[in-house]
Amino acid sequence: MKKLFAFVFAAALTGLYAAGTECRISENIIDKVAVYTLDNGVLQVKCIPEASGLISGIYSIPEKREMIAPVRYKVIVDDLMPRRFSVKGHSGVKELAGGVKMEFFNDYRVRKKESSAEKCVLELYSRSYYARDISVVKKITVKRGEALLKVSIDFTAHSTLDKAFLFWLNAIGSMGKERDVVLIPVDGNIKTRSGKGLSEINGKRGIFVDDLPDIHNIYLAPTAPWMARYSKGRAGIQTVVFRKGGDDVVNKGYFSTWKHAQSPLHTIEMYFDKRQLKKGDVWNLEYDILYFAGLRSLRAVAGNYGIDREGNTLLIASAAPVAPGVLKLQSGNGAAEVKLPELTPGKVFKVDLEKLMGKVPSTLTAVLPGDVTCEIPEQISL
Amino acid sequence: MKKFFKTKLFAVVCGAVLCLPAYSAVTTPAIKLQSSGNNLEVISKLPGGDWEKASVKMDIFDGKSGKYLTGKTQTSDLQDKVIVKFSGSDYNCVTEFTALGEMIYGKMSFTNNSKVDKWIEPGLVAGITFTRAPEIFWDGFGKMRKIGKKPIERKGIKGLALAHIGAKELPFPAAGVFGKKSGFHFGYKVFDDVSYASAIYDPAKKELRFTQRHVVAPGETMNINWFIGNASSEFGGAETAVQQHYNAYPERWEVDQDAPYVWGNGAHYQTWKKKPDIELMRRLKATWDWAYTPYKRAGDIACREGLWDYKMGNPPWITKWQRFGGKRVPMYEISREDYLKLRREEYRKHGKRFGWMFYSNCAGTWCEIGLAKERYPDAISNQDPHANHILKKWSTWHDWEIRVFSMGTTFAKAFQEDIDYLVDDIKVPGFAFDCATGGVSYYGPATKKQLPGRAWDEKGVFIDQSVAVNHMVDYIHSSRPGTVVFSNGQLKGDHVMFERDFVRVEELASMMPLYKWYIGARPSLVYGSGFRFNDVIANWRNMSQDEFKEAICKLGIYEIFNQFKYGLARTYITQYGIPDAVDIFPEFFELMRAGWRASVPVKMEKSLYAPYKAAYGKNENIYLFFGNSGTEKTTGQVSVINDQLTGYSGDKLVFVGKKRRGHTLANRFRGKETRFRATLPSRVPVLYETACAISNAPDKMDLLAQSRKDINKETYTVTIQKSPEFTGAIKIRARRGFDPVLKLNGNVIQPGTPQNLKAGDVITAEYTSKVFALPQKKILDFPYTAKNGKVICKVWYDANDKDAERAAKRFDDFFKFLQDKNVLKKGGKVQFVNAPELRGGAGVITLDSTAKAAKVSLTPAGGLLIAAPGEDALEKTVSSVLDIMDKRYPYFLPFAPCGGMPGEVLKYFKMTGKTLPLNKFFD
Repeated sequence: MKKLFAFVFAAALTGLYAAGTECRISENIIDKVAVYTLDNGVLQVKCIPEASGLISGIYSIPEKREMIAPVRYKVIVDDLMPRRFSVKGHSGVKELAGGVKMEFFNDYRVRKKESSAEKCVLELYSRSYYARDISVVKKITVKRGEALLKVSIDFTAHSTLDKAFLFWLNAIGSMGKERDVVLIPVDGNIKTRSGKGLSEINGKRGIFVDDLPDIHNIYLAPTAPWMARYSKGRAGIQTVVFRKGGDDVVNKGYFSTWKHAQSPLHTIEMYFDKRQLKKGDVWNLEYDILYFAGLRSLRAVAGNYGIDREGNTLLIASAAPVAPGVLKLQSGNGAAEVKLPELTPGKVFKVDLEKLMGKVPSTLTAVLPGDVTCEIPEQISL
Repeated sequence: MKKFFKTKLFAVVCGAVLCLPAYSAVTTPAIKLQSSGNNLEVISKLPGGDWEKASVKMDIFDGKSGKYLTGKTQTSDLQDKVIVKFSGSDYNCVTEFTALGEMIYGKMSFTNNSKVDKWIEPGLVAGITFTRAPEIFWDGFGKMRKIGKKPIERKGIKGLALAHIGAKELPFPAAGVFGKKSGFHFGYKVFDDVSYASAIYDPAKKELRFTQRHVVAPGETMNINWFIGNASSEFGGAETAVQQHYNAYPERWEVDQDAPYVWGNGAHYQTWKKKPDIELMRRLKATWDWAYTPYKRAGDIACREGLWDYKMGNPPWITKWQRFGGKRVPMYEISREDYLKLRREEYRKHGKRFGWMFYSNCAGTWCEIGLAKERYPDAISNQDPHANHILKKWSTWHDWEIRVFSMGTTFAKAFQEDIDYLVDDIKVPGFAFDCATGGVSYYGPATKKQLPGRAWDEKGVFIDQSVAVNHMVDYIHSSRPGTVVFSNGQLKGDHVMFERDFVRVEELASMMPLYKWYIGARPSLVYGSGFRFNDVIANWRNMSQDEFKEAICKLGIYEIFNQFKYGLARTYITQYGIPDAVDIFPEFFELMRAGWRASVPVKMEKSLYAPYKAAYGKNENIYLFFGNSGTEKTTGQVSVINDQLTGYSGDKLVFVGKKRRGHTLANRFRGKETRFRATLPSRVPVLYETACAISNAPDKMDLLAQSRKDINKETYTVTIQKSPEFTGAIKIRARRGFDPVLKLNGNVIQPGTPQNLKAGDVITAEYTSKVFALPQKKILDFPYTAKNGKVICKVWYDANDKDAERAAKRFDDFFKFLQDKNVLKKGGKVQFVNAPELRGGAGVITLDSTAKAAKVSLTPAGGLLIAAPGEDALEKTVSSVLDIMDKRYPYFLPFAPCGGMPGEVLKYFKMTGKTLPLNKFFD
């Protein structure tokens, strides 16, 4: 096994990611709607409980960069119709259920706000999840100094549901003015999932890069529980990763990417297989939204690490501060180890694979500190 | 080619200004057209408007040469007509301008004398002299666009995409610019064969250009319609312009008042997927149903020999979609012969009676892909880059279907043959045209033929899908007269479906009013997922039963108000459990028959709160609807702008509240307005109807209008309380099913004849029912049941009168229904009697299908006689008697699980089987 030949690249942004600020939550009424902001010194995350707990803003403080297009909304107060949250064009990240039209929202109430120097948590509650007899607790957490937010969803079924329940996540970020490029780890050999016919990508397996200019609705089977997006004009990757439930969505669910007409927005969706919940069943899901500031593309997500590969250079970033450790790499050509320095959001560590391992095939496997293993596949397109 | 189009084709240069001599003039109440030197000139006749005059030029762009046509002009100055002739070496163009309603109508005939197709783009260009700069550009679509400094335009006729089908919204065939007071607009006739039209307003030049593109074959003479209009914008410029179109050529929207099926609610699959129940349908006033895909393969509605067995694109078959009157059809096993036999039997049994509208390849726009490729390749429409062309699992749910073009193609021929066959063989009463929409261009081989609607663009010659759909509707009407077409889309059809929900507020706002402008006076209905309770109140589990009742009560009113606002019928899914939704049927259908109006020219005092309003009818036959959605009653003055409501006829309208027993209302004429005080209770639909119209009335006049109504007689009385003496004519409303007599001070006079009128005069319009020769009380008091509620009803018919026998069964259905619902005690039943001596006897209902006209009367012995000519008429007359009997045996269908109202919700709130209180809004 070859050992340690690497170099550290400290992104120019690194200094901006100093984790000195304490975490806090604030509430503002904007256009008649309560908007909560969770601030951990790195990210400012906005959430609208009334609108399905929509993540309506993710702002990188060091980069002064908003990663979700403004949600243009209004509240319709009508004499005869219930108060309605209404958006013009969809944006942000929210959970949905099968059969629910995008224009309808689940009205969450804030159950708890916790804020300390180290983290802040916004806990939302709704007695029903899009009218189903399921109560739901949605928790959004940010920790000091991290370029990530955690969302946990805890469902409790109060009766046995008549129909199986389809959960899906709709995530519409926006990393630049032009339509984002979307990345999905996919297996093109799988033709159907959960009764859904999938798009044909000629049996390829790898990171599907959706940079298609025209209208395309694409449905694919994932090989890992994440989808990512970036803007061609600027470094920085926004990634949505399922933690709890990740295996389920990879093994039984499917992912979708689509765009509409001339809209600059690019939607990503993560569909779980339909689930039959019985009275008393509890279902926990958890996903993170991570921001890898220095990366320009992404091949793998492992823990809080984001890994990309540019030719024979491997790039490693972390959305949360991590202590030094060892990176183990495995390919058809053999194995190697690299000492990873301490990483903080904004810092990118580069490994010259050729120098380390000789000619490296297009796919290799990495084991990162904490024993998280991931495959680093090649990129594919239609 | 592309470059050429960018640089030359759309350049606004006027190469062929048509020169006219002076003194030609065409005049309407709103606008005057005359010649002025070398130009046409239009002058506004609306005082205080935002524009005074405009020069109007005509030009014709040649799409092939990229130049404007040049040639000689010649004009003829005739009485009320201006004719402009324009000719060149290989073409001849004649345009005749006349008055049509409030607009100037230009009928252009273009003859191509060359040996090749001519690609023309004729246009009208107005240089407008404004008194105040216009603010709004109306491009024909539903949303107004603010005018800035740069030119603003609409090119083509494709609007927002509609759902997944790739079709687009079409603009209303007009465009204009509007200020606060008035505006100028151009247009052509709705449903004209136009595949491309454009509108551009240049604020720097104050110039509005409006064009159409056509391809004219060698030797062909093509007729092209134009309008020049002037509309007040006080109540919406676009709305008023649309209303001017309605007034100018109403025939394009008119549907025969006696047409079967169209003037009712939809059954929403209650007779198609379930066993049909005639009594339930009567109660729901459901006159038709959407007979979904009664065939195996899209593109083969006849199920032709040789096409039955084929490889499906997307098995397995979903059997639940194949039902006839509730019968499940095992499509995998059934042979073609057995299927056709079953379909024929079921259709002949139920099709006509329940109005099964045969779903037909959407609107002849989709075909199973294998079939299209094998048999109809010329019809495949797959070259429009802005639309999808293949849908998986589409109309039949088990195939891939490809877009086809149903005019001038092999598919069109087969489709027409199939339509004829279905009407002749299985007695299809009408067709359901799903997705009757346009906005998709067909560039296929049929465009080489001399077909209507050919236009051109940078890709070549094309025809919009809408032209083909409209012509297919025409084909059905002409080939099999009496066959109706139900359209789900903006295009032609005898009844139009708006496949959305009122509760989807954003969609409603996005699609209305444009969609309704297209529907106009035609019968129509909203057809969707009802209340969508799970979506609209996703957190309903937080509510108490009282809160649920309040919420559903408000949603019920919301539906009723929108129903009146847009003139859309509904289906049972928003009517179960809400008696008011059913109770309003008679009034609503009367208004729908009168014809929805685009504009509501009514001013309301600030104290009045009515966010919902609508107007129906025309001339002396006007209805007004107001809906106060607030929590408090409001009162104030309503001022009706008579000129706009009557198309500047000069008549002034007298109103009275529309109530079932009668109403009294004080009216005042002030200038050109009719004023009255209105009281709008909270969340109650309020209707007004015209009692009469008076021409030449003085500026100040006070009148008292009264109405008194029963089923056999209605009387409208208008007393002139204050007025100088004058000579005017009186017109009265036509009442369907009634013969009117107009009296002045007790003397019969002819409507519309000059009369000397003064204070104290009494105008009386007496309407005698053509059908009911007895008051309602006599029907209500008839001994159908004993005091203890036992059914003792006796129905007599001649034993040989099979039509009467079927109608007699309706009484049995009626009472059995009430017994099933525990309204009446079980046990007794209707006795059918045939003994001659019992005919007309006391306490006996006598049915006769051999009468010359429908009549309901009392027999000398005190029996009830119901007579009508033939099976359908007698059954209809019996239904109208049952409608009255409903008042004696009230029962409203309670809350039950249905689309948009899950059983889980009703169960949670313990509302299954219950109803909200009945308010009797119009009693």
